[in-house]
Amino acid sequence: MSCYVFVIGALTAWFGPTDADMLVLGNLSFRDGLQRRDNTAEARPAFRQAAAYFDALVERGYRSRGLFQNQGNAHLLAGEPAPAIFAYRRGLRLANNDRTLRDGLTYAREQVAYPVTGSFARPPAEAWPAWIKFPSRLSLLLAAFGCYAALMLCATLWVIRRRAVAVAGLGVSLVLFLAFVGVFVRMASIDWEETHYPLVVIADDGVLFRTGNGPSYPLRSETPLNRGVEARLLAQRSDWLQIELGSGEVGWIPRTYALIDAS
Amino acid sequence: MVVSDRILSSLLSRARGGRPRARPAAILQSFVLLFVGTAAGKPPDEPPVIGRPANFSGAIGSFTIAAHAAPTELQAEDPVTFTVTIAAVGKAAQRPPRRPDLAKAPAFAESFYIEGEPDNAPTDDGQKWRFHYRLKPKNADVKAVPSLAFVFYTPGVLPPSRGYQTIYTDAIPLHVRMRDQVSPAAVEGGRKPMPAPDSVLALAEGPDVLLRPQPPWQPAPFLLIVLAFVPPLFCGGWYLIWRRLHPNRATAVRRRHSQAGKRALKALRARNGSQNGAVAVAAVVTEYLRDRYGIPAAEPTPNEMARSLASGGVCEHVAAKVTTFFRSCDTARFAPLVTAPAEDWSAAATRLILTLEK
Repeated sequence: MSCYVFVIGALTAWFGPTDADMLVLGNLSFRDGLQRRDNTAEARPAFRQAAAYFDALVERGYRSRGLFQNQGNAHLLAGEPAPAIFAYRRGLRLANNDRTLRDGLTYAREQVAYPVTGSFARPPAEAWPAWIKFPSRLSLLLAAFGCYAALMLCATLWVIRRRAVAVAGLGVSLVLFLAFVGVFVRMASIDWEETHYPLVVIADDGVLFRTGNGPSYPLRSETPLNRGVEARLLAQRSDWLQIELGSGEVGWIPRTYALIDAS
Repeated sequence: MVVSDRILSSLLSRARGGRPRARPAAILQSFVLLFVGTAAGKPPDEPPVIGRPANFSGAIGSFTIAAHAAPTELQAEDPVTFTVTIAAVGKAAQRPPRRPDLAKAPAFAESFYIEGEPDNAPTDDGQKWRFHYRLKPKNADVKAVPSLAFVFYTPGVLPPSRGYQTIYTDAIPLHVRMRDQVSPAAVEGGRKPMPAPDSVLALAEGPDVLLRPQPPWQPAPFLLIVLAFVPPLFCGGWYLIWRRLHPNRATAVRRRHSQAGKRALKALRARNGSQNGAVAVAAVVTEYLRDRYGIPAAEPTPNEMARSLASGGVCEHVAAKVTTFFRSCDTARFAPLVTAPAEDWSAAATRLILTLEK
């Protein structure tokens, strides 16, 4: 396996790797790491190499559930939970109820050193139930339109016939219509929040959480933030980020200690 | 102030090269005024602006200052309580000191995070003031709480600008340690890591891995407007068609009346010019009235007609016209010698029907 990686690596270094080559190299490195998994010292560099290839593909503009899964798995097995959480969260934006990504995220969060007591720096509550797949906007719109049309038909039928079944249909279609509209509004608000307040993952241990954008500001909390802590970016001022933790605290950290979802 | 002005004017006149007017008596007078006036005169209300230090505390009188800090052994960024005590000396202070602003003292601002506590109420009968601060050393390089300068004004000193006095607290040595490193294990509590799930060991493969993001689908406003209006328009059309096919009672009656009128007018036009006009026209009008007002009899008398019309809501003079018409028809029928021309019967019947339809 290492020989294959070496040969393909040499070829791509000579001719320049295509995107497909990068994916193959990443997969080969990942499998190489799996084969050496019993020896952590040997496996981790292979996983790290695979993660680098997947990172490069993401840098080149690819966004897919599978790519984020591979990226997250590679980082996680390389002993880097922060970029793994970052990748899983980005993948879950594309496929919110994907079991593989959720399992990986749960496992990665297990690697994060949260404070023993309290909810400080803990991950945020799910904005959307994990067991419900994000419906597409088109399907939501069609469903809402169907309920709206049924609502109108039932209302007309009631005006014409005055039947109880028309009233029942009117109530059911009204409830369903409001439910679909509510889901649409909720999805739009989640999308807006994720776009305007992008995901931030702390990339290093012991990051001090301050009240202002400079080292002269006092600490917001005596407990430092460790790698893998998730937050939302509220503002950026020079090399400092104002973030809101999942537990609600707002403070500042240096830009160099954070991964930001700029997509 | 008067004495100072006199001395100043004397010195100025000398500096201008004028003839010195100072005689020995005048000089003596000046010195007497200087000392006697200073001792007996009132202190100035406001400290002079000339020579006022930037960090003047506003205090007027004579004061001493002392400082205390606890604890003196701590970690970086741990708080230390710093207490400054200012006490008036001798007679009561003419004006109390303001709270010293440590943030404006570079030695403090560079080494400490400064958190004040609003408790500068004077104690000891207005002769002593204590100010408390929470200082947090920024790092382990901080070795002491630096000395704090306190500037006050003592009246009665000449020139007045010399009345500003500065006294200092002693620096207080601190032993600041580096903060203890928080290890993940210490925070985590030494939990045993869970085994990696199988999904973490799996690779996603296939053409779907290399996908570029597509912009999310957004419904066009025109489409939303169309979708919003299609169901109401469809249902409205359905209702109108149904109502057309199933009219309510009033509409059905109105429609039947209208149709009766149309039939009668059409029959009158068809019979125009026939010889036995009065009888035929009377029959047409009778048929019309039967349809229109539900008159039961096949050949009602004029009086029966009048009663039926009155019960059908027709006003009296219209009912009278109908009665007159039928009496004329009866006259033409049973007394043909006074029969009117046929076209008059049709025209009269047409006018009568149109009057009833109004």
